[in-house]
Amino acid sequence: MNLQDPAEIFRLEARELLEAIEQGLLDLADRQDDRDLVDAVFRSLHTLKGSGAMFGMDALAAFTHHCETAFDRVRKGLAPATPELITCVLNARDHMRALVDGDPDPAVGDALLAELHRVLESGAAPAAAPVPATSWRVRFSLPVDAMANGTNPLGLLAELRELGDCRIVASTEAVPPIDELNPTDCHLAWDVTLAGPKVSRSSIEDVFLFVMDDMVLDIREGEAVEAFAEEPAAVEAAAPAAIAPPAVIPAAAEGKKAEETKKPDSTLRVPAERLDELMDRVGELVIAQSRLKQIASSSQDMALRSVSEEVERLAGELRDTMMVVRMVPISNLFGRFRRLIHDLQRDTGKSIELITQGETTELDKTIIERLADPLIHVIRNAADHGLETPEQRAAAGKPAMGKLTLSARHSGAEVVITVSDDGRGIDRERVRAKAEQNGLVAPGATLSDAELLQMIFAPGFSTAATVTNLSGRGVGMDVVKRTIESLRGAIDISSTPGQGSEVSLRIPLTLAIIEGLLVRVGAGRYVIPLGAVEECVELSHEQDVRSSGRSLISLRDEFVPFLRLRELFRTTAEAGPHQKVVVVSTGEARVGLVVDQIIGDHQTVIKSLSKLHADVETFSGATILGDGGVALILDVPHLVEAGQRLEKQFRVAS
Amino acid sequence: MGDILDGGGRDGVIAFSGPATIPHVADAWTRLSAAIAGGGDLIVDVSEISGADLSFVQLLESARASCARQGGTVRLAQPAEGALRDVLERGGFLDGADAERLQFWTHAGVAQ
Repeated sequence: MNLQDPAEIFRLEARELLEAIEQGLLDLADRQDDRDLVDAVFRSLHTLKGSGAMFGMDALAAFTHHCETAFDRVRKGLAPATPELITCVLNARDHMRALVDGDPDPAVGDALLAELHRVLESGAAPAAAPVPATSWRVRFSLPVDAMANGTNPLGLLAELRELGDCRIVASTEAVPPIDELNPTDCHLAWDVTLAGPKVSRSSIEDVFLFVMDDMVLDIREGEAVEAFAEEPAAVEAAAPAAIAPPAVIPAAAEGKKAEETKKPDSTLRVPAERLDELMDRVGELVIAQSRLKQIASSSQDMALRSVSEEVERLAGELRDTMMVVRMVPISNLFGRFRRLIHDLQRDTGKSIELITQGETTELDKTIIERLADPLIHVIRNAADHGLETPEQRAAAGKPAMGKLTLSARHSGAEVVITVSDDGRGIDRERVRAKAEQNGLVAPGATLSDAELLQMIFAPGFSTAATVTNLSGRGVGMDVVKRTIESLRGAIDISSTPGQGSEVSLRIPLTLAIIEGLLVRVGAGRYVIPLGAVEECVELSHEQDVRSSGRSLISLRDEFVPFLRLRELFRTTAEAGPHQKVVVVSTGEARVGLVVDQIIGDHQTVIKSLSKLHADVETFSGATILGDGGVALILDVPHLVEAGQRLEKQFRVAS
Repeated sequence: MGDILDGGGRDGVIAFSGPATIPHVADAWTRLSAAIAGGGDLIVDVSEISGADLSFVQLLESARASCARQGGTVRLAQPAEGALRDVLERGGFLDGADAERLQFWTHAGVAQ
């Protein structure tokens, strides 16, 4: 991506505007009378149209114009913001997005416009009740450089005149004497009295939409014209704050102003690839640093050691900073689902309330992007299978509106994203029947509850009796599982019949660097992600002998299945006398891994395995050690699964 | 934009021609401020201008105030017409209670 390319910059901005439009529309669906929202959507549409035309995207400008017009009518009270209109403009927004991205379908555009006109005409307000004509007094002066920058104050005055009966008086009080005058500056001020049914605070503010930032603007309602005659125009000297705003100014307008002054936040747009490059470099640095640490630790040179410690500290800080740079709040992701819920309500005929929690939780940008699709599947599933129709809910004694909760929270080095619904819960009998029918389990096999629920993620599995366009085609949930696993995450699922289900995605904070426990098995060294490690215990010789041929170890009166990595990796080297068991867990399930030696903790820069090794399941990647050697990183979820299988076999056998 | 013409009497006459708009206003300012610095009363001839905008109006308003401060006067050779008049009307310069201003631009209320 070339950020010098103005068209590319426009596309970026257009996408942001479109996001804002979407969010605004969705908010509007909940609060249809909110004037500020209507104005915000209108402004975004207006800006999009304007900059679209500026960058030669005439199709976009022309199309957006129609939506802008529609919203202009809403703004002026000529048409209500009906749910129908909102849905229609939302669809139009999708088309605008296609226009921005450059793959529009012209047929769709025409159909949308036809629909828009139909909706507008059917929704035309029964001639909005005539607003009692109040008079408004507007006093304003423009930024001194306004004229030099091409603003024509006469144009603004003409727009004010269009609003209603208007009396304009120019004030020259602030014009400096001629020897001090910069003739291209604008020191004029105006005092305008306006009256008419169309006049409102927002319609006046709209006139100044594009010059509002630095100007002095004072709008007062209901000030009699007589008062204005007594008080000659003395506007310009007063700063906006000095003119005490009358009580009628809505708090929202104040808030908006505060927002506007806050806006010039010094943010920087950087292509993601550059950050990735930087992350790679930091990774290399961390590797080099651990080599240095290793050399220093075997040296007597105090100076070297001190430098090594210093480098370690700096590299650590650099890594942490780098991580934070890549973090974005998950609200970006959650925001998208509001649209999904809106569409789902329409398609399913269910009323759904979306509750989001923990939107400020931050996650690596790349992870957030990759989470979008899986979460869409999970949410669709919850809305389609989980939540009941209003009638069914009423019959079950629940409120008609189904609740879908989307929450995110930190838990150690993971972020847990939970999608829960208050629907009917998962029908275990049906899951079982379906699993047997598909040959996923043997008929009559004993399955734990968790195992049964996990069946949902098996390929080709769907319990929906009817296939809807949303879900029920048996694709999706297995893809969800695969995607989450590729992110080194895990899925937990729980469900209470009649009360709802909960799907939790546990995702590591970052993909690039993890804390690992370095262990030795035979001659090879391996890394176990530290986040998964619960404890390390010694495997005494007696225990070792006692447990040979079995795969369970008794740990504080609890049986934990274990895997001898020596056997798994078929190492031929002699086992050491002090083998250790590293107990790792994912969620509820635990498994012990028997290793020859625990070397210590190791900051691990994850290098993914080549495509050639894509089907290797036991390892999730590799890392380079301090001495330049390579260690493989164990894929804990897979090992735990393998361990659980062993346990099951053991249970069946015993 | 024309030349300073000697009006023959004690009043200096300064005449503008061509467009009196923001791209040309710096020029007009140079001449007008020099004339005002010279002191005395001043007559401004705007009959030959082909266009006007607020920058020109502002300039003349500034000149008017500056002259008054120095005890002199500045007046238009003839009431504002055409483009200038249009700018004055649209800019709200003729719609106020300020009789002096109205008189300056339109010569209203003054026996010609």
